[in-house]
Amino acid sequence: MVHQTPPAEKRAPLPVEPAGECRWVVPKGARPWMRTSALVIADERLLEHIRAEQALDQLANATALPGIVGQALAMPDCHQGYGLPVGGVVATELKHGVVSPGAVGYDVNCGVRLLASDLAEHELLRQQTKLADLLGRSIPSGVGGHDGLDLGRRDLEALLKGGAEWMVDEQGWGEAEDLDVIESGGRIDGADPDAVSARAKDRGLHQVATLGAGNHFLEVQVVDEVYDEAAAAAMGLAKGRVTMLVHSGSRGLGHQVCQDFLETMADLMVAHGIELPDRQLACGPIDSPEGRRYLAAMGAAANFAFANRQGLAHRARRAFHELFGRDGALRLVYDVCHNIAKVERHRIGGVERDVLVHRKGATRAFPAGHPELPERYRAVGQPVLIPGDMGRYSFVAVGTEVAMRDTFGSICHGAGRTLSRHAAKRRLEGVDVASELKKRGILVRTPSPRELAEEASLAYKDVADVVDVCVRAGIARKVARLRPRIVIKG
Amino acid sequence: MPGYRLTPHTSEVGIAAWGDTLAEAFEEAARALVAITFDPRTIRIRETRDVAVEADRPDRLLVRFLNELVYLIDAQRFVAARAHVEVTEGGLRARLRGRVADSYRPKRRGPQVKAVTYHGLEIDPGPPWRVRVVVDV
Repeated sequence: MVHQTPPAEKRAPLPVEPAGECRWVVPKGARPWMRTSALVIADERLLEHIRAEQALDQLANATALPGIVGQALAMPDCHQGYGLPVGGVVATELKHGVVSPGAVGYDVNCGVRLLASDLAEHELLRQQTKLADLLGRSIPSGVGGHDGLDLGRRDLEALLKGGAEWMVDEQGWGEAEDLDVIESGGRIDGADPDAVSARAKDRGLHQVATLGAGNHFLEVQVVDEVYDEAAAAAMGLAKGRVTMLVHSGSRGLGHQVCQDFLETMADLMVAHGIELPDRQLACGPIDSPEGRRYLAAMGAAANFAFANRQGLAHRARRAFHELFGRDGALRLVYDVCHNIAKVERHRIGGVERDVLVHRKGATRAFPAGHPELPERYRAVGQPVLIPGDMGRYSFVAVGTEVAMRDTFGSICHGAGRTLSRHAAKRRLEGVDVASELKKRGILVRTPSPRELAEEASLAYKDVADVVDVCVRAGIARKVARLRPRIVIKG
Repeated sequence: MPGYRLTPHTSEVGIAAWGDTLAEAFEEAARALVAITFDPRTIRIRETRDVAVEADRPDRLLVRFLNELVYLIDAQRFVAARAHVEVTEGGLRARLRGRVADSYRPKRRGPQVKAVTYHGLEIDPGPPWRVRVVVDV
């Protein structure tokens, strides 16, 4: 055992103090190992969700990370994870701070990409069944879904270095202008394929441009509501027009990278005498060979995920083209990461400095005017894509200056579950989820229909509540709401 | 009697497995892991895989062993129905018997396992030996 502490459920509940609109603070002294306080963005109801599990204890544990700066943060969709809770953000200083693979998560660069078209909803509806069938056939999904790309090892290594850029340049999958509207340009600098184990590469080799299973999806949607005309116009989103949202990550390759480095870091902690209340938080100095190696491997896994979403979007674009011709062109709006660690410049205690921001189930949300934004979004802010569940809707938002000040420029990443997969299945025993959705005009295609119940609306919180809390807290502005019409699930 | 139990949480599944020996508890944990995703009755035994895992502690050994099964499913689509485990000095050797999955068999019945975690990991020495581990799905 790394640290002898009683399990969280046996400890006294953490004190939580109100700290302004939709803000709650766990004070620094609440546990002896806390190096700083923790800030939770939530209303009372979402706070109850967060307190019901071990999420808050996990957040308090994360404040023990050496070199942590500012506060540890929980977004309103926060729920229990491993190490850092999902919906957690922690920043560490570069010189004496640590990097923690568990604070990035297993699915490195799990993320979301949105594409927009000029198709009207009625044009989609005429071909809805055909499009659903075609996408169902052309998007590889499920457990061990084949990719049909047939990459060799050398290709994979180039992809790990080049990310989405490699897919565009070498595979011809997509347009050069896509790269302008992907976080980090679709390629993480410093990514090193040599830092990725052979086992991780084995797991990734046949998974490029595949959706995977679980909560990953590809949706064809319609813009349902526009809240901010100027921002929506900059993003090419107009009410009644068809969009497509892709949610996937780095598949088995990223999971293995995380696993490999959890082990490496566990040994490194012993060597550096670092003690933490949770083994899943295993970390090592950023400024160490192992720390640098993790960041290089994480970057490669992130590039895999960028390439994966680029590939998935390309397959979908081909399907649209087949049915709608040039009218079905899908323009990339943006692509965000919600599991990643990045060096960013933030103002902390009045001083600007570079820090390593870990976001796990949280999305970067840089406001208008931020120098890292592409020209197109400089005036409105970076698009943030927040998927809900397959029966309701998803949101597009932008970040604010308040987010830069209070949350390291971060907001939520989704709805968050309320029911376990098992409980959802039990609750929906005997219900044909696909035909229920069909009655409401949503067509689902999946290789495993029996798993659909796990992803049904009742298993998730209402994402609108989560987004509204971000808005009330001042860290986000709503831009548009998207309603699903076709859902492809793994 | 060796056996296992799966306890689903919000976005993870807990495995509790037990047996007369540590090796037997590990064998049960392996069956449990596969049963999260696949219907065990539909896994015909057609091939074997031999794996060897090293670790300085039994709890780490369990995580590494189970991750071996996750790796085989992902990289080779090999799904193990049975594991025969021999605990050795500083590790274990296991013979896994099962089959390579195609689109139909073994039948899927649950979520895909992403990774085996160190969260809530416990090994209670026996007999009966009991192990607890949480997997990310």
